[in-house]
Amino acid sequence: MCAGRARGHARYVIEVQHLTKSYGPARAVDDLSFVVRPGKVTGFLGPNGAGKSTTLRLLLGLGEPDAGRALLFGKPYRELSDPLLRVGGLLEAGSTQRTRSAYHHLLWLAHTHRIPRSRVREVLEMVGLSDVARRASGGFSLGMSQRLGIAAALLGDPDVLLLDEPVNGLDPEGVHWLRNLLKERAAAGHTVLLSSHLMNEMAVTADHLVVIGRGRLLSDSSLADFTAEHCRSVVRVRGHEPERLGALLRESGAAAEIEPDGTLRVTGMESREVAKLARAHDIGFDELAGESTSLEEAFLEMTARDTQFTAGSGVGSRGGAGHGVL
Amino acid sequence: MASSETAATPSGPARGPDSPAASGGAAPAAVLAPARGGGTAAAIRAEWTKVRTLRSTLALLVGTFLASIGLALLSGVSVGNALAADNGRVRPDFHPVDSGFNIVWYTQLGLVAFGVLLISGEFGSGMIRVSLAAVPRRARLYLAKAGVCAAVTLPLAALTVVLSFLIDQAGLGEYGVGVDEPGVLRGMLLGAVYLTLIALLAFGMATAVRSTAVALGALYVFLFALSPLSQAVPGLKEAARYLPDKAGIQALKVGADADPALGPWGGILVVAGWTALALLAGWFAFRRREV
Repeated sequence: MCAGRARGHARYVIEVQHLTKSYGPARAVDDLSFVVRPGKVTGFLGPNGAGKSTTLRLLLGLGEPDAGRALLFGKPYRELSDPLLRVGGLLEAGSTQRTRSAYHHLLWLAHTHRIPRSRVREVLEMVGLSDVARRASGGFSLGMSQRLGIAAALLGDPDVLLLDEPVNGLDPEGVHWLRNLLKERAAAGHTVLLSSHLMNEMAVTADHLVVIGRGRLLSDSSLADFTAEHCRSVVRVRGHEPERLGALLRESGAAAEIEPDGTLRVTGMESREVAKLARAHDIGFDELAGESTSLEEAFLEMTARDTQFTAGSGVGSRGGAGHGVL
Repeated sequence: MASSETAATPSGPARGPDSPAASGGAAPAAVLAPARGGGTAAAIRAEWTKVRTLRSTLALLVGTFLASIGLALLSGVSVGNALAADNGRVRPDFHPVDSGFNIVWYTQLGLVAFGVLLISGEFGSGMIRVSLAAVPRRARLYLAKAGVCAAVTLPLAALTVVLSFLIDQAGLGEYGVGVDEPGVLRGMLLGAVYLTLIALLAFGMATAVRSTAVALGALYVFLFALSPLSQAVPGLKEAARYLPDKAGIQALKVGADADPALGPWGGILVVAGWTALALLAGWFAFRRREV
């Protein structure tokens, strides 16, 4: 985990160090540390309420951490001169005053950094809002508001994009467009951090995953490593003596449990080995199939286990011994 | 050229190898590079753009101006007629100069709302996050907003006060006075200043409480209901002289309501004190608030 600490640069574009933030008794972010590097799309993943938005708000200097630091280019956001030229943030769609037009919303924002009007028209064109630029933003759909927010983030052509759930409300064409845009920017050497609660979306967009649950870091790895580490093969056996086979499998180091329909679910052993073991002990089976858990399942399992631990209900039975990721 | 650090090579941020690791908030502000894109002037311009591109704000300002002018005409003509008819409906200590400045008390209703909406609209919509992401130095954003509040209010207030005075006097006809009457020019100046101070007071207070409804409610009670109420309580009558509306009256009136102990300049100073308090309260609330 946290593969990034090793060697090399002393500075990262985005650096979160032991970040902690509570709201009343609830700990939104709990000793969270990770770094984000340029040249990739980093997915910031976690279930609702995991602390993603809080982390991004702290990165943008909109709140004070209780402990730890959230740094961009080695500094707190508030100390950046010309922040819009360096960091483009999108926190929440619809953070506009309803009767102001999209064009004027971007215009006042441009004026804070002496960005020319031509750039305002350019980003409106980029996000596909040119035709409605003169309309009051209050009448926009969620998808259009999201596009306006993305236009605002791109306005200063920043090195860093920090986007909170940017695909929310976008239509499929918009999702596709945004995905390509983010990948292009990353390929050009920019830094992209986007949050999501949808693993499937991240699986096709991100190169690197930072997974959090209940404000704590659960995983920080490349998408490839995440897949290799967490997407275990699962073998399902529909047989005659599931208890006996299960016991034998556990003796050989695999994890096995009987599902409600009587199927034996085996992890930690390839399907061929499972079949061999069954035959060796003369246990018949009607069906034996191997499959791989999806990223989505791996993510759900990871966050569910985290919830279980914090709820104090002991060790989850699913992963079995030897497979604890944490 | 781009501020040297922005010109990041594609390979990375390439910041200096030294890591000062400034802990928490207190960084040496002087070390920070002078703003190239941003800066206070740019922040003020952006705030001005916000004001002029929001239809509701513009409507409020124009409406306040037109309503004041209309009221001045109405009041001038009706009081003039009442005086001519001598029907006893005009108070015996009527003074034409005071009549001309009475409109200020209606104009301030609109300008209080303007001062409130300038900031509460941003909190209500969540746009304050966008504003603070663009102008993260809170003092700069607060000053830019206060500056634009004053810069918009002062000329509008001056125009409204002068025009409404002249129109009221015209309505009064033979009972009206000219600008050469003692206290008129001073009243015009202090009336414009008073309205600007009241708009700033509203802005500061709205920043402190954030909500449009709470701010407007509190301000209207504070500015318009408190002093009449305090007249009913014997001990408070003396203290009520220093409420902003009462002190403001002293800044403008020359007739029977004038309070020689305070005087016009004393009155405007008291109002300025209230405004300073409200702006400070707003600043202390805004300085560290989570948004």
